[in-house]
Amino acid sequence: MRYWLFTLMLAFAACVAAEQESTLGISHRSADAYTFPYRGLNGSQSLKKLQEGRSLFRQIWTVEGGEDRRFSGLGPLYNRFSCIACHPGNGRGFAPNGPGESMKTMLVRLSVHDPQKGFIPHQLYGDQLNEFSMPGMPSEGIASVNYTPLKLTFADGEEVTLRQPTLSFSELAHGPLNEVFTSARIAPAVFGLGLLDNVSDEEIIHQTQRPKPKGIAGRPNMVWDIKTQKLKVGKFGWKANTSSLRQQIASAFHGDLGLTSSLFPYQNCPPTPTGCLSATDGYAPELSDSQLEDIQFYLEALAVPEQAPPTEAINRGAVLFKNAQCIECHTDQLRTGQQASIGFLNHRTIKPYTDLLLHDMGEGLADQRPDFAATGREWRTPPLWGIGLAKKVHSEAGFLHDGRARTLQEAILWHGGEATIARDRYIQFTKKERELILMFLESL
Amino acid sequence: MTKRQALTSIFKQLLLGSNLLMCTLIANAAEKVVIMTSYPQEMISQFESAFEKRFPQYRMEILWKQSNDALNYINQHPGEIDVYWTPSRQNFALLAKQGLLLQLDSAWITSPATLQGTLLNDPQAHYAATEIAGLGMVISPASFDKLNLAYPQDWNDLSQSTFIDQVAFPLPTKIGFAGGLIDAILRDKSWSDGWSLLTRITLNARFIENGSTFITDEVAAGRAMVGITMDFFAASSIAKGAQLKYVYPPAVAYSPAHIAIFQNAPHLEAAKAFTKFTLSTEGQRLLFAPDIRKLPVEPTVYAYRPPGYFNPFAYPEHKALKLHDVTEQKMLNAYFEATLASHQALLKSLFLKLNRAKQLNRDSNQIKALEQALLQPALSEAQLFSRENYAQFEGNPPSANEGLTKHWFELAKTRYLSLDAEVQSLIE
Repeated sequence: MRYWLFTLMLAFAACVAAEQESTLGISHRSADAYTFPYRGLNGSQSLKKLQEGRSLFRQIWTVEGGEDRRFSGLGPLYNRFSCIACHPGNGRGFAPNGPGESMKTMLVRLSVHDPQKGFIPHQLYGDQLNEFSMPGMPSEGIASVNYTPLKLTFADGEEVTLRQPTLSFSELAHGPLNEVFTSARIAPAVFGLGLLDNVSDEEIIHQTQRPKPKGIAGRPNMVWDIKTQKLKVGKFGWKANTSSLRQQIASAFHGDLGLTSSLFPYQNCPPTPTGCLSATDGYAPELSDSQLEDIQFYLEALAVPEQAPPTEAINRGAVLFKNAQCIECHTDQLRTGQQASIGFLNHRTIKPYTDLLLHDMGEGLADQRPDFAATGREWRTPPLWGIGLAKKVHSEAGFLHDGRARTLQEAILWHGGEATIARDRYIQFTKKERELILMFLESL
Repeated sequence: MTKRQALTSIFKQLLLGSNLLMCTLIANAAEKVVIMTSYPQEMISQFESAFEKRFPQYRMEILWKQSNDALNYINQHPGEIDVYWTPSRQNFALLAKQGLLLQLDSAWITSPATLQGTLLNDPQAHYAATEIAGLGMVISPASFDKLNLAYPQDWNDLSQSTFIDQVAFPLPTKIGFAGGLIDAILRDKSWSDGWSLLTRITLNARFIENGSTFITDEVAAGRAMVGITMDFFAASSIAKGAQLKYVYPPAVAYSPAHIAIFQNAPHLEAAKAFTKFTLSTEGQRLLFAPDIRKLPVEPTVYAYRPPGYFNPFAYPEHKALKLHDVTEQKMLNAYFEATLASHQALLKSLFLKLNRAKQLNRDSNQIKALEQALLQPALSEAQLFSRENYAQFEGNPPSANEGLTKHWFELAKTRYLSLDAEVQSLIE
């Protein structure tokens, strides 16, 4: 009797596990791979919210009112006019290939150093350069990127050329950016965010306590959470400077599109009389709470593409990824908490290939622009899940915070600081071994 | 020097070279071109990238406005916009009538004047067609193969009882791209046959009332076997891996999109460059991108089309059809909603009762007469398109026509309820 009961329990547990596993991940590996919701998402209410959120994420916002006020409020200052403009196909952005190309999926963050207050937004330009403005008022200026080629040689003699970016500015509305700290950022991919949002602060802090090889540390960024009005662990942004998905969305709407919300109720205008504030129609918040909720739900519901079926080569690449110590920061195991609005995202073991911690990445990648606790050399380990599809989703997709890396290999070669050993091991690998690591990454 | 030392040395150099902070270099400024459009982001992004690569001296600035809002904005902000580039023929016609558009260089316009009866370019060259979209059906072949059913070929096929609740039908009064749908289904048919078909399709329809769901999603997810949609939505999904198929009916309804330059364009040279670019082979070829998949207006460009790409200029010529103008299309759409879509539940129940009467072997002549009565439109073509009704719809927002559409709604309701009483008596 006991034997049968035990067998039944095992069978039930296996069924539950199989059901749970089937709700996460999407087997599509097409150019649309980042656009599918979790299979387990159903119910008319959920689907409606999902569709509304998707519609808003794809919506091009417009200046001033029209017949449909739901989609107006763009500006006064802005970078792009839709979310999807910077996240094409829900994927990552890319950098201009030279000074002749505009920043289509990239922006420049700004700050100045105040002896009393530390690093703060620029008094006139704010914390990012807005390249566009409502008709009739000047934009803040135009940023361009120049590249210097940089040759590297692998241990086996093969050469590769990296590109070293330098920013330049023109048409600056409030004078030159003297003494201003600048940092270019491409847009990240937006799938799997519901799972990352649901990783608890404790789980992230726990990552700091994992034993790691000498030279690798990692620490959480502690950032201001607007809703709770206290410091929390940062999870989103290239320097983990935002603690929640909701705040990240509202912040992007405010900074990139110039839309106010309950979290960011003030227009993104300088405090001086530039005509910026008077250019708005006073309709606030421009992004309603219900719109914010719908977009949040949509992004929470976007599934992570499943890894390609393993082959011997992919498995060997995974071993090399581990041997090179990449796995120490791009960790393949995190546990979600219990805060997700989508129930089946709670208490799951996920493979995001990130520890969500800040790591010193060396001078080569440093922007020298601190952000909360993050120094100018520190960056959050970016998730690698789904990264193998980046070029399929958008052929120009770039890597690293400023898109300087055109390929995954270039991204690896820019690693430094705590990742110096990993990068050097990659350089010492044979061509075949390098190919195997890249095949593994492309299977993600 | 070891490899590692060499590497360290290079990265130390990077430290010196990577000084992204405190940059005050000045780059050359590009002249902007202000373009008003209602295109989706994917279309804008493709043209923005390609145009800036071709003309680095210019920079696109987009002013996005729905077609309904565009005219007000243009009239309230003269001298602000350079180019109007959008699918909305009526707006172009009105702007040309107001004398606000520049006459384009005829050498730029190489596309034919018409495509199967649809006027492409303005005869006075105040605006030119840049792309075309066709209206048809998207299906999931797997769902048909599983049931061993033939794929639909024409609108008539959507009236089959196999498709009950299986036709994703965008409601034309609510969804912009479906503005020409009722007109398309009525084409090539008598007034009576056309509305009879629309009534039967209504019985099968799952009306989609807002733009937040994609018709292609409804079909791909198995919530509908057929979806009525513009070709580019389906073609783009298929290009990106969706297991769907698009079917053009024999008489395709085409919607051209246009481009024009404003007389008072503040950046005239840039405006000319962009307009010429969209009409050039290079610009036309961009329409083949998987994210766009629109139909070029320049026939020679189809030599470069991806495999399987539809070529409207090679599609069998259909006999000349009477096409309704935009006002008439609005009237058809409002009338369809008031007399059919809004009464879908009642209509379904009436046809179920008629089927019941057939099963009960009731008077077949009476059944047939009642069925015919249900399938006929409440108004004749002449009544619907009366001068008074036309004037009511022309140039007015939908809110101005509420009284008339309410009247049509009540007219249909009274008629259906009266027929319901007769059908009920038949099965009792």
